[in-house]
Amino acid sequence: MASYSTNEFRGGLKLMIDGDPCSIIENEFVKPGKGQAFNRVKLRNLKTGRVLEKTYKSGESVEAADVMDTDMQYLYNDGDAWHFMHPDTFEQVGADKSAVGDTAQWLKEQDMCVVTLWNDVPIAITPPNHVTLTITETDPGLRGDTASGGTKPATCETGAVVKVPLFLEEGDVIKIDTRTGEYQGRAKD
Amino acid sequence: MDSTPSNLNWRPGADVDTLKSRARLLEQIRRFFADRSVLEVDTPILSQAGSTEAHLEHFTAMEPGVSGASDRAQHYFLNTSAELAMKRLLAADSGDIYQISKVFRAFERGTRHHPEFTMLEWYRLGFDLNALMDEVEQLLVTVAGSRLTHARVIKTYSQVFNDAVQLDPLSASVEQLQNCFKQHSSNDVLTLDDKQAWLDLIMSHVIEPGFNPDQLTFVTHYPAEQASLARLSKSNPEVAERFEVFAGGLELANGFHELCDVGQQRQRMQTENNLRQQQRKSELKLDERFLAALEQGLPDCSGVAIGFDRVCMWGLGKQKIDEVMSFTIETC
Repeated sequence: MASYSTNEFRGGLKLMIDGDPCSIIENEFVKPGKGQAFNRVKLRNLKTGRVLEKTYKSGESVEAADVMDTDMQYLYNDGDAWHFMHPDTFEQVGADKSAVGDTAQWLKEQDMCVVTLWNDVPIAITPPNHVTLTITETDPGLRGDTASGGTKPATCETGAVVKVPLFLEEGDVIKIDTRTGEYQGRAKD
Repeated sequence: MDSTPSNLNWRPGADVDTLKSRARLLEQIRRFFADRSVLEVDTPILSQAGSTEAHLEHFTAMEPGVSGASDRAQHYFLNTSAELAMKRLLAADSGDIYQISKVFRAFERGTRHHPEFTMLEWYRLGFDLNALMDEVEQLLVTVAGSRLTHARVIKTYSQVFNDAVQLDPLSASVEQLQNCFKQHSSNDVLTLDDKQAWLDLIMSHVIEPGFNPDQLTFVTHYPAEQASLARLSKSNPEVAERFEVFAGGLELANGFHELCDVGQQRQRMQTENNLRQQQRKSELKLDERFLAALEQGLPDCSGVAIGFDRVCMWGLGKQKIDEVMSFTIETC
């Protein structure tokens, strides 16, 4: 089994911690001049997203996690799984609810996403930073009201609910930042 | 012609102002010792014998054999400190000496650690621990005192443990230390087998970060197991006549009332070597030239080593050691 020594620790390295794949966020070397050296590590559990802290005796080895980030195209949802395809090999994988989580609301067919694979199984999906979605449901627009600054909720084709300006209508196409969930503007056709 | 990759990082980590400040600090240090008639010395960076200290790893340098005969290549250690060579000078009647030298410690890399760093080390004949601590304070105030708003504080190792975690480090058991760490840190730790490692963990993770950053904290009388090259206290042989200096949680200096007893010194080096073996590090030949000098007689003296780059960090208010170095191990 592959493993890493603490001397190889750096941001982004993937390790197995208590049975879960984790990614190093921060690695700090702590050593009293005459004493034992430690690596104090902040990690993100890639399955739960939770952040944990660990301290290792420097020089110890930790099992590596076989984790890979792959760019893949979102194809469709069959009710159980969200299916993604590798654009070069046409290989397909299905991601279940626990891997997709809240990201489902940003998944639009044919968009490119980052699929995090652990032992070739998807454990997390990262949507594009910006998505373009059609509004399917919202209160009637207040034509001409582009200045009052008020907002209303709008439901998009993927199910995402976003706060949008009052003048927008059903059928309008808008751009959203998936990292904040905020409306960015109308999409230009 | 080969083209240079444009994304190659060739720039120094320290800006020009920092490099100037660094040079000024070196100047001030040399003046400080000139005023006190302490002799500047310059011992080799290479050494035939390595340091046996259990927690240090060496870099080695190789001189190739004549006409590429690899079996005749000579291997040298890059010094982890200038201490042993300087003590040979002391035993040869050098009198008070100081040195500013490059030292090397493999794998020590972090925001406050760099494998190659600059060490200021000096020895004073007839000084006890208190006299040397006074001088260390004077030097630090001279070169970077503007950051200090409070007078120094001196506490024993036992006191700082007692103040911060209500535990006596000398009598505490491994279980007590383990529970103490759990209580004071959210951090999850793999099992440590020996008591000194637990003490180091609590000291570095819980106690040191709590020291006042506007004040120098001197911690004295380390457990005898952590005596290193310091003599044990006559009044209490459970502790060593050793001190460390901290500015906030930043460790700046380590000082000893130096051990002169060659028998004890040899024994400690063997103990450290055994620890190295347990940790599957290479066992090292003892530095017999150093031991021979000790046999001849080291004058009663105290000595201290200060991480010069750390002093620059502290004096200039920098958070990362990279910011006070021209180039780093990643860009050298």
